[in-house]
Amino acid sequence: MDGGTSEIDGAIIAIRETWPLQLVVEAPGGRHDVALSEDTALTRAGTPVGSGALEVGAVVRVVGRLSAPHAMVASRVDILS
Amino acid sequence: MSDHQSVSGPDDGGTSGQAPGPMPVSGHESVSGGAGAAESAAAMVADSFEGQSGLLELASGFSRDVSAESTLSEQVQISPALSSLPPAESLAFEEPETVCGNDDRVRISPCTSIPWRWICELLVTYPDGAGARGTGWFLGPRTVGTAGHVVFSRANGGWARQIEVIPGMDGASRPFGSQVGNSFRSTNGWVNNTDPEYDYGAIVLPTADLGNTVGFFGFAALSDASYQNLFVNTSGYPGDKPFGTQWFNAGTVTQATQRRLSYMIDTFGGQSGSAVWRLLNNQRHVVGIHGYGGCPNKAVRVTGEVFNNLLAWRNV
Repeated sequence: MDGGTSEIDGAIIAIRETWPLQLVVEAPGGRHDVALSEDTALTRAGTPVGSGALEVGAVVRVVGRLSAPHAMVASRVDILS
Repeated sequence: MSDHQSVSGPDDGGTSGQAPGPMPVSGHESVSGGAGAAESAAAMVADSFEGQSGLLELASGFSRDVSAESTLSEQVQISPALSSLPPAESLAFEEPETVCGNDDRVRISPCTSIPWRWICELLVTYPDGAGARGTGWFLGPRTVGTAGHVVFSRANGGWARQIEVIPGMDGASRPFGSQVGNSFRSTNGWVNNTDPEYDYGAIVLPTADLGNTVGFFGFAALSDASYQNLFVNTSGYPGDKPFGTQWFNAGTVTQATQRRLSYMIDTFGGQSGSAVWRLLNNQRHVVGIHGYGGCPNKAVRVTGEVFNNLLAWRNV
């Protein structure tokens, strides 16, 4: 992968409990592995939130670096619902 | 290649699909963990646990009344100074995502007795340079069990570059030291398909020094009936607590599917890979490998196939 910035919208279907967390996001284009980092910005409607706001079923927009097909390291996760 | 086929990390020549040899035990045969160097020779004692429920570890400060599922436990001494430490100190993570209901986790300190010293803080470095933390548990003299996504993260470049294993870590204290592993095991189902039902793995350490010092868990594959009202324990290194501190919780398995266990036991990011164990007749057998939050939280169930892989990895 070229490591370019990518953006996906989808629903969190699983939360893997490493620290930082890993998410599985179901998007229209398929299922994505999303690794968070210490620097990942978590927001809801532009307001910073803690990782507790990440729940299975939440719809999110993930912006980050595509690291493999359907896999990315998130620089930002915005909770849409 | 079956989804349970054992696969190895790059330190083993990059082999994928390396299969363990035939296992001379049935899937439901269980083994017991050693209690340290003096008892290691007595490890691998097979037990039968069919149809029985386990006991809960008793950690000071852990209330059986708060945790509706809990019944009996094992006494663990925690000094007043440590037990009075404030909870979640991090302003950034004030709302644990997988603490289910009341947060009744209790800190374990010191972590030098059994079973706490079998449990390890894992400091992971992935190929892309990212760092992460997880939890592991000794399953053999030089083998530490954990989640598949701890040793292999597709988003972070695949197999971990290295993982530092710190048994019994207690804040700044590393009572047994640490070792760095760069040889890993997981399953075909996880590495090639990221299937959560096969999300377990292991770290193979350079020597048996640590495992022979601290001892290791047993593990067991139980029947479906055995999971009814089964009390289980878990302890690990959550990211919302002071770095390097071990936290315990316990409760009942709420659902056992063919390959996974669900429970409302409080966990948090950083506890991926934690042992979910049954205490019975003073024997501790891991029956699940924690990995997923969301209330209910979830573990990979130790089935006969998982058991065989763990046994093969124990015997490396």
